[in-house]
Amino acid sequence: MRLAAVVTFLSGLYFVLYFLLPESVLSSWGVMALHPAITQGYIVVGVMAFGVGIINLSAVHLRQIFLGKKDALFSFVLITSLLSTIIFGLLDWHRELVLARFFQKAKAYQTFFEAHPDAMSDRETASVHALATEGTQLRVQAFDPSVITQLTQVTQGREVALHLAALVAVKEDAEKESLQTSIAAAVSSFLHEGIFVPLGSSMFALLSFYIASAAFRAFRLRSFEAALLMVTAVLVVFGQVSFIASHWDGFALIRNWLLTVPNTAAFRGISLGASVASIVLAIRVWLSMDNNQAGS
Amino acid sequence: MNLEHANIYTGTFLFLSFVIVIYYRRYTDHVSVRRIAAVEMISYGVARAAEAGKTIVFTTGISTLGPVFFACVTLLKSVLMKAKKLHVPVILPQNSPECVAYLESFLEAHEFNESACPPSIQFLSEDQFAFASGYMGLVHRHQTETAFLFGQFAGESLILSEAGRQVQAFQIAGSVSPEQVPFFICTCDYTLIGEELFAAGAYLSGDKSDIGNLRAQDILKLLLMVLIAGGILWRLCSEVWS
Repeated sequence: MRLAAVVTFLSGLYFVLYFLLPESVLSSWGVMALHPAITQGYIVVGVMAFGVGIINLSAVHLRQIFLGKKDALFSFVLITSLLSTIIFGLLDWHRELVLARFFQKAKAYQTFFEAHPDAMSDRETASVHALATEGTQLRVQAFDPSVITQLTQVTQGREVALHLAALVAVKEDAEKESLQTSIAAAVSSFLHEGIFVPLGSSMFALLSFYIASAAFRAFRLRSFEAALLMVTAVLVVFGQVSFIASHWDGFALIRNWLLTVPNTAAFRGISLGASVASIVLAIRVWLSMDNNQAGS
Repeated sequence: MNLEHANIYTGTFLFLSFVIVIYYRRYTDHVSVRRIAAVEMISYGVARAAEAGKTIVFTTGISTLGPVFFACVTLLKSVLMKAKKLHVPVILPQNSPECVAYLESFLEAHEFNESACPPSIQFLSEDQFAFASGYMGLVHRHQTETAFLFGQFAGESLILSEAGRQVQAFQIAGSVSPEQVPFFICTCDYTLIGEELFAAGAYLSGDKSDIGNLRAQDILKLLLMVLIAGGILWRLCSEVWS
């Protein structure tokens, strides 16, 4: 626990100093050069926690399935969705990676043969053949098949460089086409764009109905405060709706005053109080002084 | 004010905060904490769930590891202690995997896992609306009797609190996001506004360390108020004299 407290303190101290000290001082200490790596480390630790989330999710829902509980079907759908998203996402990522590596290799060969236009030993011919075979295996239509075929027949470095330049030129087209034609990419895209995004939008759309029902409850004239709330809301709505506001400019002025003066004052008061409380609690956690936290 | 030197002003304020927090780390003098109705009703919420033999849901919304989440953990500790005594199952739906990892070690450290009815942490989703739909399903499936919604919330706040309302759950909410507070006031039985969320833990536990924390907050707020008033006066005087 002492080690955790020391690590917490040092990590906090680093970020406080990074925020407060001038850039010139940080550069002279060499911190500016190291900062991206330190931030990356922070991200890596966060990503590790993501595994904990997946383990938790799987444990809860696999238990439901194996114990045959009432809502096991929902758990089955969730686990299937999770697995299919992971599998197709990985396959898609793998294909992108293979394509990117192919182009990287082609570009490196092009650079080499441009620098050595006459070089074409048996070893180099074999490498060019291997590259052409790899291009054929990738089955991307954007590759001109004649370029690939010609690559296996060339005898001079300068010709190879020319053919490879033609191949590298279609890089973007090939990547786009690969995304469209790959089954893994299509399924992965369908799962996200076709299912996940519309479901999220549907949930968001629910808000319009909930706001109406919440407003109905809040505006019932049960007390003086509720009446005040209703009058204020009506004035803001009148100032916002152009049809009503066009009949009398005063509504827009009242709306603006309500939003910029009393509303902003309340917002700032709440935010200020919460910010001070956050600073105090952050310092207590930073110094491991809080009794309520994990491991205290 | 020269904003080029903003880091110096921030640093000075942070240093002052640092000194004040350390000075008030344990406050032994008697301090009366203002009565907060929402906090007093937490015990009622737990007892109500025990009487109905149903579950309690405690969510920290879309909070990530940070001061707001730590304030919620202080409240969670009080809820779990009461629930442990009354053998009430508590479900903790989570949006952030980091918080899941933290809560697991928190439950273990405070021996909540060893109770007859251990709390269950459920990671739903990192996505805001996927989390909201997961929460809705959970509340409906368990027919939750009491729901506590404390922490950071955004557009999903109304979806979460309406889900509780649909199953007629007793709901207490608290958020530091001023935009979400009106939604909670409309749909929940009791609401904590802004910094009350941070004070609630001290109010419930009465712990000297937590009271000291509250005292430090008050001193710093007073300091800020003096600075704001001083700034207004300075600006007024300089305009009059110029």
